[in-house]
Amino acid sequence: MTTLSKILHVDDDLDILAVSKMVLEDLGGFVLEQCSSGADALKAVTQFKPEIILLDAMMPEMSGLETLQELKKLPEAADIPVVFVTAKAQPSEIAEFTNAGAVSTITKPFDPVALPEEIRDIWAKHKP
Amino acid sequence: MTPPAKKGSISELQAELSLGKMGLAVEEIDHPVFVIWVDDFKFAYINESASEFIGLEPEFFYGKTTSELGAYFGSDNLEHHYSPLLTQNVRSITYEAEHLNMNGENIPVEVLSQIVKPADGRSFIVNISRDISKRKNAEKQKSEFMSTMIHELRTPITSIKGALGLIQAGVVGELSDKARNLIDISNRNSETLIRLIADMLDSEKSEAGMLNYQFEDFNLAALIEESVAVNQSYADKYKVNYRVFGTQNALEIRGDYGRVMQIMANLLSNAAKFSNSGDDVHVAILRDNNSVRISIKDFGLGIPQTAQASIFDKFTQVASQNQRDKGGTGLGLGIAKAIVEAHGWSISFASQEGKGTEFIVEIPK
Repeated sequence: MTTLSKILHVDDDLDILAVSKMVLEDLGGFVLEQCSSGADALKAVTQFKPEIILLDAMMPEMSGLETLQELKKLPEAADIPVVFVTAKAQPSEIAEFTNAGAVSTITKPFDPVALPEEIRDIWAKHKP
Repeated sequence: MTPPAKKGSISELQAELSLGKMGLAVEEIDHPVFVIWVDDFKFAYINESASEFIGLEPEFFYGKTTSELGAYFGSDNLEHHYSPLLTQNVRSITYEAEHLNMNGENIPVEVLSQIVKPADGRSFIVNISRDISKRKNAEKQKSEFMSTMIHELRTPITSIKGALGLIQAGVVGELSDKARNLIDISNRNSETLIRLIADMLDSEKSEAGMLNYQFEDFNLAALIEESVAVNQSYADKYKVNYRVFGTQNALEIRGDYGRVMQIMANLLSNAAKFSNSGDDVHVAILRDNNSVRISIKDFGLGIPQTAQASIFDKFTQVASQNQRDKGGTGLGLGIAKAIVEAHGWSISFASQEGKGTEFIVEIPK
């Protein structure tokens, strides 16, 4: 696949998921799967086989970081590029994400019009 | 008969300095006090509090230099802290450090150091340390609270900005003119909210000395031109014209591109805000043998004399006479100054009420 098609977006905020559905499907033309928890994401990844995963950093029960660590243990998910989406984006936080294997960080609030292109650029740089 | 003064003891110091009973007061102070001779940086005296704090007898210190015992004071280069006292005629300084206490813990302290130059006798520096762990804890908690608050604010704004952006982009269909106007207003104001939150975060980080920088080489002339283009909306809003000078030739400097753009955004927006409608704002790179200067000059209201001393302070805002001045936190200039100084540059201004203001960022060569 030379162009990005399938995105898995994980965020516990249902309003953000509703907005991202329009941004990524209607504006971006992607095939989208959404989950509102890390646990659901671990189940969805094997069935949906996304090409990139957008992961909220702060989620209850299983944080973004914990979810990423679990994803890296799954053979079928370990190589999928993961992008953290976070409202804090402090350098120490970004370093933590990078060390855990994230390929990039997007800061909230994101620009909805620019987001599809931003994700395409990240995937082009980091696709397996 | 008075027994001979024990070497390095309070009595010796009292004798040398003829302090008399005042010396007893020093011994009684509940904060660590240590005295260092200026000519050889050896400890002359430590009081009982210092001895107890560090867990070592005073005799351990006497005759040893600050370099030898730096580990107990969080620095093997205490002389570095003292240089204003030694070279600049400054009488006292305050700095933060850490002292190693008797439990092997590094305790944050604030040290007041005062140089004393007796007319006859050796000069010495008196240091009084204050344990500031409680204050540091409170600062850490406040910083964590701010970080959480900012996260909490940014989360709902993500949905607001996302939804408005989608409507504005026509994803949900064409809008009537009135609807478009309302959406534009909402979007603009949500952008203002986003900027205010970013300002709060930057202000907090700059106070804590934690603003992050990524230095690189870049063309200042190109940055100036880009900053004017990016901030054109201020020019449109206040009906001023940004006129650019001195950017024909490239000029390589080292700095954090994004942060320098932040300085320009602040200065350009202020210049527009305090101009009269139809005015020019001159944005120039000025070069001479010693430095490069960025000049942003408006010909508008000027800063009142009474406000000039506090113009870089947090939350200082000068009221503009016309009603156009809306928004802003008063944090921008303070943040701009912090960024300028972190680069090793300086910022100054000249202003006259009714004539205008010129801000200069000076970049030494």
